[in-house]
Amino acid sequence: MHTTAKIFRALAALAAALAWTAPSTGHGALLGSGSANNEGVERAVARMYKALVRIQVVMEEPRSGRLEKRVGAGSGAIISADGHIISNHHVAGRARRLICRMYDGEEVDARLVAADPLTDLAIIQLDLTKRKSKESLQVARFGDSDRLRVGDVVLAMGCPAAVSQSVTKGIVSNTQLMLPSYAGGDFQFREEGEPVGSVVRWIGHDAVIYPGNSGGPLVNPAGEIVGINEIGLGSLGGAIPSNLAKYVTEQLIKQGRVDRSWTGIEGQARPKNMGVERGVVVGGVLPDSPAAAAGLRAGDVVTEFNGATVDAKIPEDLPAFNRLLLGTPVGKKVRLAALRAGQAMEFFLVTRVRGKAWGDDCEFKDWGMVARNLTVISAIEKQQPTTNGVLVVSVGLGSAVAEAKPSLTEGDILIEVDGQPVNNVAALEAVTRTTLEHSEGPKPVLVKFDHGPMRYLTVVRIGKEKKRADVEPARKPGLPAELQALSPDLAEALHLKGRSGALVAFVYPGHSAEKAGLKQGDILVKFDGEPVRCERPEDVDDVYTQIRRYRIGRTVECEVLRQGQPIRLNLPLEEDLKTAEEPKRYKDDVFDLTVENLTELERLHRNIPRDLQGVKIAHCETGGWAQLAGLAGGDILLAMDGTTTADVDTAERLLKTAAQDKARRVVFFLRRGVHTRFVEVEPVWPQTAAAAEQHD
Amino acid sequence: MNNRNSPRAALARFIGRTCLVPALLLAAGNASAEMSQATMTAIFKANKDAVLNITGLVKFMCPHCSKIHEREAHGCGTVVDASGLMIVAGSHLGLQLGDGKVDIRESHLKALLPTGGEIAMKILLTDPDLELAILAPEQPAAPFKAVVWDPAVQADLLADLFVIGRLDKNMGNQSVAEPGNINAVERKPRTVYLSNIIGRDEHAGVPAFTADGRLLGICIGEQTLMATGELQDLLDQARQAAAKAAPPKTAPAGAPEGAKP
Repeated sequence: MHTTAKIFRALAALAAALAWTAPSTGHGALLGSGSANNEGVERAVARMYKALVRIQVVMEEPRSGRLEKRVGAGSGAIISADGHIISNHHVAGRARRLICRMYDGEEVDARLVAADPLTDLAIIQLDLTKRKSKESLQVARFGDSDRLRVGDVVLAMGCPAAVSQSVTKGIVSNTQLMLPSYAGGDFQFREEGEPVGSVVRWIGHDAVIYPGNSGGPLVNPAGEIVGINEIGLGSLGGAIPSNLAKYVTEQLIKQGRVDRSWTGIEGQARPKNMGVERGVVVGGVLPDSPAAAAGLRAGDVVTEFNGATVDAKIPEDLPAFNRLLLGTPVGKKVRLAALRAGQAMEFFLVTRVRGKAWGDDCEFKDWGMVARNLTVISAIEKQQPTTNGVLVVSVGLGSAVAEAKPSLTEGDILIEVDGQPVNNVAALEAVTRTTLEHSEGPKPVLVKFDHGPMRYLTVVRIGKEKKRADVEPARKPGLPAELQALSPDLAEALHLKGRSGALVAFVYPGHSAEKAGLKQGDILVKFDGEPVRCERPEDVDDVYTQIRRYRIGRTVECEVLRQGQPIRLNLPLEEDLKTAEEPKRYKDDVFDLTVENLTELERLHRNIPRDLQGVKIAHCETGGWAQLAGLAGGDILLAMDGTTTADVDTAERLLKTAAQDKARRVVFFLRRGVHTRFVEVEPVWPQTAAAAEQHD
Repeated sequence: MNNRNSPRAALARFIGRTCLVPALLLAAGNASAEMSQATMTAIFKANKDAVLNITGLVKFMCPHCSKIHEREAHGCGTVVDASGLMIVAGSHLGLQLGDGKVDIRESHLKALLPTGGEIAMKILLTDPDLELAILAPEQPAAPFKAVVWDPAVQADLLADLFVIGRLDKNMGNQSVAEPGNINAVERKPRTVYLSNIIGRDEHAGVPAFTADGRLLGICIGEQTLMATGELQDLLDQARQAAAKAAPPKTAPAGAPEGAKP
């Protein structure tokens, strides 16, 4: 997913760069005069526009040992009266939360029905019970993509850059677009490990698309879907042909998956100097596959498959061959005619069901990693004899697995935990639950894992991070004032040329310095009889260090210059405000934020009124619910769902209550600078690994 | 070049005879001649068991990279009371306390007892300015052999002093003694002595005694010796931190609890 996303972003960036300079075919023209030229366009818009949805997604990606959430947006089209919507897998396939914005602005929740990463398609469904509008859904229909010809007028409809429904016009540029190798071709463009280009030849067109158009329909003048926009390649857009999309859609709605056969043949176009006029070259045969069992091997040239003549002169021919293989009924005995070193040969193989390339990602917070099940394909890729084991996908810095010695790294496969086999994520989740049943951890477990051909044993201390050690810093005196170096330039400008000292920039109200009479603008020239030398900014720290050498409670004579006149002050040294208050903290693992009590120092530094009730948001985890909603470290949380969060204990109670209630939305009332605002945090409650496994 | 872990290298590190301070070494030789061997032996015997080796691991969060670092602790420190309160240099715990507050996540420290046993220790307090940490036994233990802490002891320029330390495991954790004298005294705002014999990090955390056998202070590195009276508030804070962390229990008689032979 990560690689795919990068490729798509790179491709999209190319499209984006051109989008800014390309002449606009804006809505005004499309919806405008009704001239003869626009007749088809108007019809298409009328038939499709209300079926367009903007899809707002919170998706998850494994990163740093967590399933990190991020927001995204894409497009889709309503294809059934039940509220089914077609879109791309890379838009909705990893969604934790889906909200569809309809043409009239209404936002309706949706759920992921099923997705097919191999074709980069996904079906989601509107929760019509939540829809307020009484208007019937406009339902788009599929057209016949095989009838498209180069030069045909097409309209790209969707929500570019997450703006509202938009339409652009262009012509079909190519009906069998393949990605060049520099832009993700040669099957480098993968979704969930699936080589998307192995079965898809895109419809190339020049209707302007932009990131956000993904999943939106490519429409013919009759108002039918002839493609699903997916990629951008320079100024060209690429859409998945509707005939393929329609087939996949039916399968996904009917059975939640697309059944495909697996042969283990990795075909490729004929090399130019091979001296063969016809056929598909076998580039490789996966071990333990039907093709391997049938005796096929690399270099064979398949000329006939299941009675159909096959040929791949150029890479563009391969998707048709791959679709033929994948579309063969599972378990069917198939005859292949092939050439081996020029000799005609015959092979028979029995196809097997082709599962997903990757299992679903599961986050194991207690381990600090994301892991997934092995599938038949990923087991072969990892050279594993079976699918038993749990594949480590992402490891967090400083996490339990990273801290183990030896540590676990991405690509490792967990085999056993405390002597119990962990054949899948559900087993790992179960053993984790059992281990931590009566304790939050950390608890050491003995882990057996494979790292390539090596089998290691290690001890992982799973569970919540141990409370940090209660180590306190020594209490030292401080100057309850902020100082600024008196640089030679500044001294001269203040008519104090040649004098050393520190300028008092701020005096903390209510503290010893203020009580002793120190004022903003004073220049501290002597401390306990010693000259204060503070010419460079870094010298300020030296002054504080010097003060820390004294004892708390001692009174020290200071000499300051005020309006050029020396004044002596007796300053009782009090504890440094930095160590005097250790704010109480609470880290919430559901909302992924840390709150702490506001210290007096914080209030003084940030000019926060003493009577303002609230807690500081010390940190928001990247990709957590709080951060996704727009909360940030430094914000002051004033209230949650209308209840004032005067201190950390209250905030902790409210956060825990919200989690316990599985609240759909929690309203945080925040203060940032002088501004206040309400922010809705909309978590989706955790899915168990066992539930995720059901999708595998 | 000597192997860093060789016994010879360990001894050299402790003795710290670098070419940087030849003049001071000369002065030390002259001054130490004034302390009789009998006196030094008596001081050494009376106090060597109050200087213990420390070993183990400390894990802390690096404030710069937010990564948990693990450092090996090795060195020695001074037991300052019978409860086992111990002053150790931060560097001996693998910590760079100069960065300010250290977010210590975990520590697995052991003090090696003179009997050959060991006892688990925890970090109570850190002083980033002095680069010192105060340790205490994880569990209350039988009385420790401690130095006699007297905050009133003072000394003057060129006075004799005598440092007791412990070599590392390569030298069998043997006690080591080194005489010297005071080369400078700073009285304000706190009394700090400078001495030629405290030139190396290995000296940090160990006790220095006057010629009459009284504890003068604790070496804090950089040729610096902090007078006992100036460390009193640090110890008081450590004791408060200990009391806050766990109510004191009565120490059992006999061998320290948890000590392994």
